Amino acid sequence: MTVTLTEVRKVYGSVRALDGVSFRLETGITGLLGPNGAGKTTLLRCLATVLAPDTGHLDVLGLDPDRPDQRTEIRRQMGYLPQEPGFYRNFTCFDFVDYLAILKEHVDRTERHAEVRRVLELTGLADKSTTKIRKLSGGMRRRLALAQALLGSPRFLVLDEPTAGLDPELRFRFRELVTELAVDRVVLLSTHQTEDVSAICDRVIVLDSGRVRFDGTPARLADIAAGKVWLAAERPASARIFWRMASGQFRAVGRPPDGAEIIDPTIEDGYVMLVGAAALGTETEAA
Amino acid sequence: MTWHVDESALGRYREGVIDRVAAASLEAHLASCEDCRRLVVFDHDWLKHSWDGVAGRVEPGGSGVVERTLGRLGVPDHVARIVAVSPALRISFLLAVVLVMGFAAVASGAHSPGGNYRVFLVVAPLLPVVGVAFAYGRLVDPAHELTMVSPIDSLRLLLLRTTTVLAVSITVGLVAWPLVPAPSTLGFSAWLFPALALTLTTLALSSRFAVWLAGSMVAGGWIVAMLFALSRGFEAFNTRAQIGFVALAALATAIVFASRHQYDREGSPR
Repeated sequence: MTVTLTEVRKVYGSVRALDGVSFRLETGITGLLGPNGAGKTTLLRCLATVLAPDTGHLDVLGLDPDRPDQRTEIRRQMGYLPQEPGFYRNFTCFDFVDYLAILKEHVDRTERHAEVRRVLELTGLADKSTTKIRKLSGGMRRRLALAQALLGSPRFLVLDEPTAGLDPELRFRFRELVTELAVDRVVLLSTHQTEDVSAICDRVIVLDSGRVRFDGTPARLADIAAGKVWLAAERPASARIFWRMASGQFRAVGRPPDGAEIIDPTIEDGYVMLVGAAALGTETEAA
Repeated sequence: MTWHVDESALGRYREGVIDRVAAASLEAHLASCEDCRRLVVFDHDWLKHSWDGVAGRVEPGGSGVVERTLGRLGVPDHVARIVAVSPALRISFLLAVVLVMGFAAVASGAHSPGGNYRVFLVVAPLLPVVGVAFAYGRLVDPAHELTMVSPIDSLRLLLLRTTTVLAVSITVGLVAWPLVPAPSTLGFSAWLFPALALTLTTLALSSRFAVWLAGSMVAGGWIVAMLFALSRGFEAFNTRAQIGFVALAALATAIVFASRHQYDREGSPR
């Protein structure tokens, strides 16, 4: 069960949203990181069969999304959570998911309703079944969007910012749910939350300016900043980025001064080194 | 708890031969007594199926006026739901159709005798085009992206919604038509064929452009063409013109069929 992209390109006017992206996804969770405008959403929309790439090839679970019959089959086997899912605000949670279940070919009413209840239960919305969507908080709407993505137990999950707007407890619950699902599924997770990537992803891909800048384990991404994260009592001049912590010390990422108190890097540090270097046009060891 | 179910009653209950009053009493006890519940052997799949069936009956869904009406007409519930969700079926659209048709009919009669019946013939075919433009697409359907990635055929969805829009528009038009002081030589096909031709042309253009844009192009083109034709004294609604509209509808249908795979994905197909 794999998803493969080969030299995928997508251009909007003069902007190269995707510029020759190639990688292969296998069973498990892959995190997709990147700054705003890096091409993450375009990439996810191509994989979700919303958008046709200009050139390059996609293979989703052995199927070709350029062929209409195979595209339909991909859609049967895929769950997709867009970055900005729209809702029918006057629908109840149940009716909304029920409607999307109909579109996903769950025709039998009894079986369909059982499936709707299952996904609402999974996302902790069972007690909100009869609540109108307009009355839901942003976090609940996010869970509702996730619920529809889980309809029919898809083999390939494309999740764009699934934890945006979720409180910590729900984020933990989401991690629990996705890690359970990923045992026998391909999950691609775009996020700005590097904690999510550290916590649940087997692999991380960093996209920047439409290109893959990094593809490896979260530990390897963190290693990019090894020896480049330190604590300082004063505002550090040589840091690429720094902030003051509750202790009053500064945590800095960049080129440490002699004798600096070096600490272990996180993947956020590695990400800052990687994408920061790209933004500044300077070399890093990892680049 | 002072009593428990005796074995013989339980046996009769299991076999389904217990009388209804005794069964109700026994079930009331089972609901509150875990020890006795353990003695009742049941098929888990059967129980789950039964509960799903009960929940399916009592849960919300399909309660809107449109869905109920379609249900009574024999339309399957999942199709009724798809049709009812159409943004074009909002009350605002229905009101707009009634008001515009009514206004066009009244305006057509305002300058009788001789009549300015052409006002109706120009306006009426536009209404289904506007309805279709508001029936499908990112700008008008908040859940469009989720709809697009579902396995249901996007063209089928668009056609279902178009059919609904046409049904509403044509019904209202048929009601309004007798108010229009048109010559007796003109039947209601004088606006029906243009309406079908413009709607199908909108669908055909939607294989290349967003539906709202296709609708705008068709509506704009129609208005310009009618202003030109009427200002030059061309007869735009006689039999010959109607044959032309039928031909346009046929051509548009052929284009829709040929482009049927281009409705369900954004970007230029390769």
